[in-house]
Amino acid sequence: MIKHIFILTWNKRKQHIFLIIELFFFFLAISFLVFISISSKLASGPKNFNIDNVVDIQIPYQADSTIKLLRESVMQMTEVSGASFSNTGPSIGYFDAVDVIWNGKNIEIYRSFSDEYLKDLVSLKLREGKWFDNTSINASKKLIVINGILQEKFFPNGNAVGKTLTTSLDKYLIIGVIEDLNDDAGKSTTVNGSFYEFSPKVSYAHLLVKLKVPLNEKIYKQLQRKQKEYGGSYEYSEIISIAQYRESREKQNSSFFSFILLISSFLIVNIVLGLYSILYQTINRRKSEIGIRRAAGATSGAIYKQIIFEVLCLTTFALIFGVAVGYQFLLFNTLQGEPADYVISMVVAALFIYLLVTLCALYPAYLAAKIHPADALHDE
Amino acid sequence: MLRNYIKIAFKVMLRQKFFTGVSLFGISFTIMIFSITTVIFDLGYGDNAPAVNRSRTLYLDGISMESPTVPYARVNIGDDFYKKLRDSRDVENICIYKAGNIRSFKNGKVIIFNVSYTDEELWHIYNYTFLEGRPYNKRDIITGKRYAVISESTKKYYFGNGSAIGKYIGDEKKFQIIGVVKNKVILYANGPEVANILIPYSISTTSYASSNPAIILAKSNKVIPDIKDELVRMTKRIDQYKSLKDIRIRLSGGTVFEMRDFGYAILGLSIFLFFIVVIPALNLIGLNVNRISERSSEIGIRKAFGASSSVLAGQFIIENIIITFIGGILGVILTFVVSSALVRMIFYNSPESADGVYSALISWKSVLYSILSALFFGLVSGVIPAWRMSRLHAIKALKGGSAS
Repeated sequence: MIKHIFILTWNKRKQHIFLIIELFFFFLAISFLVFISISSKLASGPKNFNIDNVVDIQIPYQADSTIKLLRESVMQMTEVSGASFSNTGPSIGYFDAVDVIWNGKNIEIYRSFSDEYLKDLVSLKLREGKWFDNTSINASKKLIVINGILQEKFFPNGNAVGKTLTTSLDKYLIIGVIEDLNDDAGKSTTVNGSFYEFSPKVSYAHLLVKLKVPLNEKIYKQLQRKQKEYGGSYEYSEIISIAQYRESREKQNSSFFSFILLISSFLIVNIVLGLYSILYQTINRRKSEIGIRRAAGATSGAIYKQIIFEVLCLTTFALIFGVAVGYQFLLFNTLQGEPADYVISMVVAALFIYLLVTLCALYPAYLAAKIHPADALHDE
Repeated sequence: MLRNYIKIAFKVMLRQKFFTGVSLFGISFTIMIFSITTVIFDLGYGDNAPAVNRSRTLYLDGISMESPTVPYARVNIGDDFYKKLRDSRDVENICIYKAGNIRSFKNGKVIIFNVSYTDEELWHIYNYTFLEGRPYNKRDIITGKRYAVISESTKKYYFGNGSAIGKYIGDEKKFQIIGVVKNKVILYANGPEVANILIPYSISTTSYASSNPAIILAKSNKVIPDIKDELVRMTKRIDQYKSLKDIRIRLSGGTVFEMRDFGYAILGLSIFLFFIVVIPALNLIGLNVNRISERSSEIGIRKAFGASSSVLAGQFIIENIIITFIGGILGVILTFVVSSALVRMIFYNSPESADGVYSALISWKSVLYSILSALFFGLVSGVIPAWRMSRLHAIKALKGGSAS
C-alpha cells in the first residue's frame, strides 16, 4: 500500500509542488530556530553561588599597591561584610579562554583570577581540596581551583587535588575542586570547564563587595568616593549591584526568546492554516475518486489511512531535500556550532513537522472517510 | 471593468470566508513583520531625525599614525586642525564633541546616561525638536556656561512630568537645564546621537584628552573619500610628522555604512525576509491555485465567450492584489498595535531611555513600506495561479477540470 501511495503522490508532484517547497522552507526555518535555541540554552540546575547584596566596583588597570588599599578602605565601612578581587564574578560574564594541553590535544577552557576571599563572599561550594588562603601567596607553584566540569572531563575516576594542569601558558597545581556555578552568564564555563587562578599581582577588573544591607544611595556615594581615591579616575568605571547585571541578562534572554517564539509561532500558524485549507480543498475535489474506491469496497478506515499516508509522503519528499541542505550546513559548519546540535535540531524539526502535518490532515481525512459512495458517484 | 473585478473579488472573498480569513491572516502578519524589519533597518542606516544627514556624515573617532621609526601613536588633532579642515571645499560643517557619562542612583539601580560635550554646530547638523527651552549657542560656549540640554526620557526619569527648565542635573558637578528635546528611536547610534544629555564643549572634563572625535558633514556622500584623503594629507603636514618617512595614517571611524558593515547587514536582512515571506507566499499560492480551480466553470464560460488568457490572468491578479491590499492595511494596524511592546524589547536594557518613543515604529515611511510590500506580495503570489488557470482549455474548464 505504501508503495502505491508513494507512486500516487509522486505522480501528482506537480500539483503539490508548492506544498512541498513550503514544507522544505518550513523545515529549514524550524531547524534553524531549534538550533539557535539549543545552542544558546541556559544553565540549568541549582545555582551554586549567592550574590545577594554583592556589589561590583569596577577598577581600571592599576598598580598593585593602591588596589590593595581600596579593599582595606572598603572593609572599614560598617555595612561591608567582605570584599574580594576578581577579574569577573558570577552573573557578570567575561572569561579568558586558554588552551589546556591534554593527551597531546589542545582543549579550550576558561580562566578567571581571584584572591583568597572570593569563595566565602559568593558562597562557592567546595567539592574537594581547599580554596586559596593566606599561605597561597608563598606557594612556589601557580595554584588553581578547577570546577566540577573540568574534574569530570580530565579526572573522571579519582581525585584531582595535587595533580598538575598544563596550559599553553603555564603549569598549574590543582588545590581544590568547586561545584560548577551553573551561571547563566558563564554558559561556556559550564560547557567547557573553567578554573580560578590565584593571583595576587594581576590587574583585577572588579572588587566584589558583600554588603549587610541592600545597596542604597548613602553606601553608593561612599563607595564612589573610595573608588575615585584608590582606583584612579576613569570615566567608565561603574559601581553596580550584581543583581542589576542579572536583571539585564534576564531581560536580554527573555527578549531573545520572545523573538524566537514570535517568529516560530507565526510560521507555525501559517503552515497549519495553509496546510489545512489546501488539504480540505483537495478532498473536495477528489470526492469522485474516493467515492469509486468506497464503491469498490474500501473501508472508511482505509480511506482515512490513505489520506494521512499521502500527506506524510509529501512531507517526506520535502524533508529529504531539507535534510540534504541541512547536512551541507553541518558539513561546512556554517552556523559555528556543535555537530550534535545540528543533528538534534534537524531531528526535532522533522518530528515536529510530521506531527503537525498529521494533525492538520486529521479533519480533512475524517471528511474524506465520511464520503458516502452513492453521493459521490451521483455527483459524477 | 475594474469596478466589476473589485465587485467579483469581494463576492468571492465573502463566499469563501474561511479561506479569506486564512489568507488575510497570513498576509497581514507577513506585512507586519516585513514592515517592522524594514523600519528597524532604516532606523539603523537611514536619515531619521535627529540624524537627518546621516548618509553624508563622516564619523571621525580619531586619527592614528605609525612609521618605521615612531611606534603607533594617536594623533592629537586639536581645534585648529578642524578649523583648517572647515576651509576644504567638500566640507559643509563640522561638529566637535567629546563623550562622557552621568550616573544616577535610584531604587537600588545605577542608570548611566550618555553625555556628549559638543559645540554649537550640532544644532545645524542634527535636527532636534525642542519641547521646552532652547539650545546653547556660541556665546554660551565661549563664556563656559554650565548648561545642559536633555532628552525627554531623561527629563521624565529625573523630574517626572513637570517642566525641567532651570533645574540642575549631574552627579558631582551640576549643569543647569536650558532645553528639552524630543526622544527618537535611534539604533546603532554614533557620535553625539548616542547622548541623552548634551553639554557645551568648552566645559568638558572628560579624561580622553588625546582623542578629539568629530562629525564631518560632507557636501554630498560622493565626496566623503576626498575628505578622508584630505584628512590624511593634513595629518602628514602637521609639523611633528613632516620629517617622517613612510608614515602610515589610519582614520578610525567612517560613515555609518562602513562602521556597521552595510553589506553584511543587507545579506542578513534579505535571508531573514526571504524566510519570513516565502512560507506565507507559498501558502497563498497554494490556496489561490485551489481557489481558482474551484472556479473553473466560471473560467470555462468566460473563455467560451471570448475572454483571452491574459484578460483572465489580469483579473485574477487584480483580485489577489485587492485581498493583499486589505491584508496590508490590517498589517499596518497590527504594526501599530505591537510597536510599543517591540520598542520595549529593543530597549530591554534601558527602559528609561525609551520613555516617550513607544509608538515610534509607525511612521509614514513604515506605512509606505507596508503598502508597497503588500502590493508586491499580491503580485508575486497571484501571478503563478493566474497563469496556470488562464492556460486552462475552455472545454476542460467547463467540464470542471483542474489546472495540473
